[in-house]
Amino acid sequence: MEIKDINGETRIKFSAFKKQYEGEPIFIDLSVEIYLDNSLAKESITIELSDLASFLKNLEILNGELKQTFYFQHSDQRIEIKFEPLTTGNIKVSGFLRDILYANSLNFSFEMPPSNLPNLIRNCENLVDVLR
Amino acid sequence: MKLLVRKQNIRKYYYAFGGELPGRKWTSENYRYGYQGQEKPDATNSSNPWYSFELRMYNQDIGRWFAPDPYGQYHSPYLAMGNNPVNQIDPDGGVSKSHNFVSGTYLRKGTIQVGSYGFQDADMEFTGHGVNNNAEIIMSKGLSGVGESARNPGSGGMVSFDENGQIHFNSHDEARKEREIAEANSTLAGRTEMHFDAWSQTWGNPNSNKSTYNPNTGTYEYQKITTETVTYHQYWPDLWDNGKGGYLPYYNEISMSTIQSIGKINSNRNQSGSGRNYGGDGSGSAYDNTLFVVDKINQWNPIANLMDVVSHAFTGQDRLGNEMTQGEAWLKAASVVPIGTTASSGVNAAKGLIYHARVSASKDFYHNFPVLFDSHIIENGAWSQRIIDRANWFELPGTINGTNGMYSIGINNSGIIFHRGFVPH
Repeated sequence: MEIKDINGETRIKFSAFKKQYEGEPIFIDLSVEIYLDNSLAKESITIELSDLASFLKNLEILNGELKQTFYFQHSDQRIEIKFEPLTTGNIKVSGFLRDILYANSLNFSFEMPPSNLPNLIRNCENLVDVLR
Repeated sequence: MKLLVRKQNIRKYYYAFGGELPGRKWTSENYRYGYQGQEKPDATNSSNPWYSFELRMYNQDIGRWFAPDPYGQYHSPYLAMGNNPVNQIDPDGGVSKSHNFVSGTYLRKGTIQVGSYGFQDADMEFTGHGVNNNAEIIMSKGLSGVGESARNPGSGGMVSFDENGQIHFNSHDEARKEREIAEANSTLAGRTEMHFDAWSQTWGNPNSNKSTYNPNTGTYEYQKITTETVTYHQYWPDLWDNGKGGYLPYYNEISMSTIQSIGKINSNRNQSGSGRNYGGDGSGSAYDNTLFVVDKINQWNPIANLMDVVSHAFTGQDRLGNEMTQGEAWLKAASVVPIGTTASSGVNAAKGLIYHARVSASKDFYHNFPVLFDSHIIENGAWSQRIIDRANWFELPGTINGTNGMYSIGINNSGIIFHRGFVPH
């Protein structure tokens, strides 16, 4: 699952999803990569499946109204992505990714077109279905 | 009221407030004292027809003093015996006090006061329930000199007072061949020290097996004595009844029921049926008691113990200069490292904390802080509830290695801790 900017370049990439344990809550290990023009960050994090489900739900709302600002985040607070609709019609994506010791953090900010939302929602739906 | 003053051939009857009942007087000679043992009025002397108490004159005709109360005991300074002459006396005209003559079915809210020599050649016999409802027998001078025995109707056993001022509670259980004796050294009133001894008739010396109440620490130290083993037990009063109750980990040999009948001591609670369960079935099994010991060890202050261990390594003494054995040092060292390296091990599980497998498997720096912290965070942290799944969330500010941050613990609906972590600011 990727989030691309207005130029079509991949800025955030989620991969290597792996379900940790059966039973609630369901924890998911995944890899997150942040690509900036002169920086790269890659970290393995653990989120709950409910975090991903919330993300999907908020994406759908954003896609329908293009008004709501929301965050993708998890309990360990190693990643946070803010989706903020702009008056220009684009969506500002900003946030950070931290390493496991919270010693290093890569902050990012870019704009994505709303036309990317349907594809992002579809990918996210597939992930939630598979991992549930 | 009939108050009988008997002296030689003198017998008089009085009204409740002290007036003489007419025609109810027999006397062969003049006697100086009368109502309440006070100097009686001289009927032939019209200038002094009233009782002369030490502090005030008393008018027995109207039941009032002539002079106001020097102590201000009642709303009216002239009121005598609290207007209750049946139950109260006034020894000197100052303060009236309750004085019950023991007759009838019970003594209620009164005091039996026995003078300098206590009961001599007399019995104090409780034919009913003895002393109930927080009442106490106070013997401020101890029991020295009382050499008689009295029956304890509550237990069917015998209570004996020996010449050394000690009380012996002797219960008889012929079937078990056991004899239980409690000794009260010093006084019962102050309870400065009490010894409870128990031994088997077939084994042991009663004088060498003592269980002591220490008022400074509020603890009892018991010994369970059988023909095979001697087991020490510690009493933690804070575990029961706000410090009033007794707690014995698994102990039911010595019955303190005879003690309870005269004092405020509650004891002899065994673990079975108790509310404190150390992870087992509460039966006092080896598993329970192992967890109990582990629990106590983990409750020690690890920092203080660490200092003790370091001090011992260099000086052989703890940080306060007390001698420590190598065994004690090892025990303190063990307490520094939380027993159970993973969070799902028995210690915290015994406290009702159950951990998700993911939490137990976390070994990274900010997810592997001591499990000892968890109950503190839960008890003291800010609480919130996550809307999405109703999980309870507890957060408490703190530090790790000097880094400020926030400890957080998440507990799901099933009571499982699925998240425990520290996020630096």
